[in-house]
Amino acid sequence: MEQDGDRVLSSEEPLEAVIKRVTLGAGARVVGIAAAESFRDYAPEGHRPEDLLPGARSVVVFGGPTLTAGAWRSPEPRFMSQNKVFALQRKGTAVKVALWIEENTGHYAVYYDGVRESGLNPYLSLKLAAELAGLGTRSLAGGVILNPEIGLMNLSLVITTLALEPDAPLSDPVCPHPSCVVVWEARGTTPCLESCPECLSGELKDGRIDHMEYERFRCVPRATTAGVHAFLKLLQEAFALDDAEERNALLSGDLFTRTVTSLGFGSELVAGCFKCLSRCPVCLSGTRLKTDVTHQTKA
Amino acid sequence: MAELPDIRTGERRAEMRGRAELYRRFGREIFELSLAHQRYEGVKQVRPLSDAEIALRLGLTEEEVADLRCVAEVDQLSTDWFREADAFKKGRSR
Repeated sequence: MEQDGDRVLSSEEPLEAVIKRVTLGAGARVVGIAAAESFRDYAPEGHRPEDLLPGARSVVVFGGPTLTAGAWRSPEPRFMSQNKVFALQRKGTAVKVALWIEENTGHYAVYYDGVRESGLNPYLSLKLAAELAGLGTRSLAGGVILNPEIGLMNLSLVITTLALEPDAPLSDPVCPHPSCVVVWEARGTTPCLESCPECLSGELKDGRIDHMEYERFRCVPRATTAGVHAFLKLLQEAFALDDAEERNALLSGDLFTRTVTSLGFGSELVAGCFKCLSRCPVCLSGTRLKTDVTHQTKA
Repeated sequence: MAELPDIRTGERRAEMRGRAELYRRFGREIFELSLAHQRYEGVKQVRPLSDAEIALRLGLTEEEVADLRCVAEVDQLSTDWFREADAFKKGRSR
């Protein structure tokens, strides 16, 4: 890694390009750079890069596929969540990028991949970071960032005191997809809004998102069905039961047992239902297999 | 072995009682001001308030708001929603 860094740094290649190459080489599929100061217009004090690293100048934001392409086509939502891709790689990628920056540029770096600061709130918005770094734009599906190439991304970032030339946010919105505009004009809805009216609402106007709302608390039971909040709610329900047999039925039942298993092994802690994005044309396109494969099988 | 404090009495009990009272007064408002509801004009998010900003508005400490928000985030969920989500996921696989 250091040798590679020495080699690339001795070339005429801009440092931004080198860092992006290191990031992609460490497993990311897409990468962009945001200026730390650009967060100030959007994020409250306490949730900006400099709150996590004093003197922060730049944020290297990167992502990869959420699931395997096959998992997107699985009829079993729980199995989808067990086929995570970049969520299992991102910490390794982030460590490599942060260390590369520190060892090759003499600047500090910290990485962050979305761990919650308190309750459901993050330290820093990964979605905002990805948006500012030009990796994608907000979607009607809860404001998640869609990348034009891979659709839904799993994200991570490295904050550094190193000053880098930032990328610009994308000028053309990825959402709505042209086919969704056609659906909206015909029926006044889109695949995502139609799929999950409990969590999502919004309207298109002149082929663009006019406004939208996302009820995060309604998404929690669907995205983390066997997660921390399920554990707390079911435990409270058990406490309220006077009858020992009823308590046993609840606590030894399928959902609570899986929830405890999930807490122990992380198997279903974040197990999105993917209902809103399973019919998203951007995600479907982004998870289509390549046709120019190197190893073809006989038909 | 050190004796464990009895949560049913003493300062800890008073602290929890005080926190419960604060929750009755401010829980719903803190929840409404938090990231629980997210609104966008176009694709620009209407900036939500941080715990510190909510604290300033309601005359509480940031630590109190964070704690009460965590309670509200659990409180506003229905156990049935988890069962329905579980049934939805099971149903989709059949």
